[in-house]
Amino acid sequence: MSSDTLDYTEEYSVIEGKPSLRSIDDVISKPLDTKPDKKYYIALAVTLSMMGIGGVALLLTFYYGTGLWGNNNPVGWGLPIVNFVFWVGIGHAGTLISAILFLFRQKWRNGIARFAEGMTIFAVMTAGIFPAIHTGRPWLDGYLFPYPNQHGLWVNFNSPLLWDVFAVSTYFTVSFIFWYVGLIPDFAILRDRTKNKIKKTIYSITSLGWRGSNRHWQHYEMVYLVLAGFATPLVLSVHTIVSFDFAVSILPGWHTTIFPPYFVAGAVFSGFAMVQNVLIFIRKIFNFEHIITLDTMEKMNKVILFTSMLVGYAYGMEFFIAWYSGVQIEQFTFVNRALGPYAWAYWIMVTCNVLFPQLFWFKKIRRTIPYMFIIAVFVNVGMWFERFVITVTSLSRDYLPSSWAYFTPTITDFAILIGSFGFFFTFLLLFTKTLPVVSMAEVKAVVDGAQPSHEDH
Amino acid sequence: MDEKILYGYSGLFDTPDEIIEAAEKVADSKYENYDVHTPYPVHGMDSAMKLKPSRLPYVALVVGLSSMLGMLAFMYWITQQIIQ
Repeated sequence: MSSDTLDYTEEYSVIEGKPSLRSIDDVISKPLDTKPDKKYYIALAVTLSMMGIGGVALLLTFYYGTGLWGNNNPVGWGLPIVNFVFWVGIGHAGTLISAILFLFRQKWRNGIARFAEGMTIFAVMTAGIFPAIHTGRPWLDGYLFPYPNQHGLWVNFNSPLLWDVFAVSTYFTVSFIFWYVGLIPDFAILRDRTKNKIKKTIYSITSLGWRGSNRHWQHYEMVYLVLAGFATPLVLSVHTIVSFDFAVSILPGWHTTIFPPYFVAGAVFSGFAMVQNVLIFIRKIFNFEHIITLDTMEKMNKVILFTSMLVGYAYGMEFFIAWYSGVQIEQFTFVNRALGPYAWAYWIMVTCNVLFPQLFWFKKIRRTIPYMFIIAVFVNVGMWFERFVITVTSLSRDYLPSSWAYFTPTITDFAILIGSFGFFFTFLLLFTKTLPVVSMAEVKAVVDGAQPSHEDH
Repeated sequence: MDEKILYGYSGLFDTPDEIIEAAEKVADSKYENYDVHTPYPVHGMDSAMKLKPSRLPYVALVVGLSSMLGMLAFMYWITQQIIQ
């Protein structure tokens, strides 16, 4: 594929080197069969320490109250909502890869779908921490769910915040079922391979008696199709509803109709950047370079480039509409974003999200691991700042100039952010050693020569 | 001839083309209980084995619609509770 003239009539294999079925099993289940090495424990120690920092910060918060955070009077929504939106966004790549690319029959998704789905689940779990803690009284979270109680207290079905509870929990459930259904044939492979009695019992239970019969596969593929059908609208709806948290309120800078598509594009953007970042390590450490190929990475970079331009378009369109609407307060908000006290955050966001990804126009950069890694890190930083800019700039300077205030996150805020990264990466590390991070069955199905040639049809 | 009763046949195939062809032939014959075991779903096997389409989508439709109606009824009931 190195030459510039490609024959577009020929379909190139997404798996390099035509590996045998057994070698696919061997290489993918190797991390499960071998004991973790020293580096793994070091990485785990780092992520657990990060999680510990977050845990301490949370305990202090619960003891002393949310006054430990930087939230002040106009800026009632500080870092917790920023982190929440950031992590929900990270989760979006997984469902996009597993559901939408499945419906579009993109074969290159097969090598990365399992891992991206795992990341979705962990990212949504991480995101779920923030609504749970943001009131400072997590023991009252039960009231988020509508149930008859002695206070006669019910949830408000008119509130986007409640829609969010249902959108995110539905998203988590569907992603989890999708992930588990995908794992069933792989559990069966592991069950047949292992000689350890305990593992055999566990895999026998989790594989639900899978035998690889075509009568199983027929229903399995239908389940997968139906779940992909459920998950596809969810990819769009979850971040749409997250954006409603902002858009339905009447604050300038939030009350815009572009928010839902803008948030969805941003979510896919940041999600792909995170998946790309982590996969770079996974494919190298576990020798998956022939399964998660450079071509696959390049395709992910193209998606990052595309969504970067969607996000850049949204940034521009926000300014245009503010001007075109003729609403002074709206115009002020956007000038304030770009030139006001948070200009530094705004320009970090624009540089990281719009300018740096443009380097992906160059094929050389799309196909060079260190460059793509750095750009995707910038994207993650930029997307975090995007949520920061949206949340904080609009709140810190709203209609009443006498109540304007500058928001400065405290050390507790940052400790919780660090803790959320620790939580996420701890789960990822445990995932790599307990479950196959690449779907063996799905990869086998897209190896060259795996499907009948249909010559006689 | 020995007196053993024949319960069934099994065959091993190396390529997807061969197993599809074998499945077609078995499906066209008078055998009633036959199955194909593959490590991954092979395209065209369902029609080669003459399997009926999976009925799962109908189950999903019924469960999905009834859950949706149930949830709407629940929300209606809650609204009544609040009004009283």
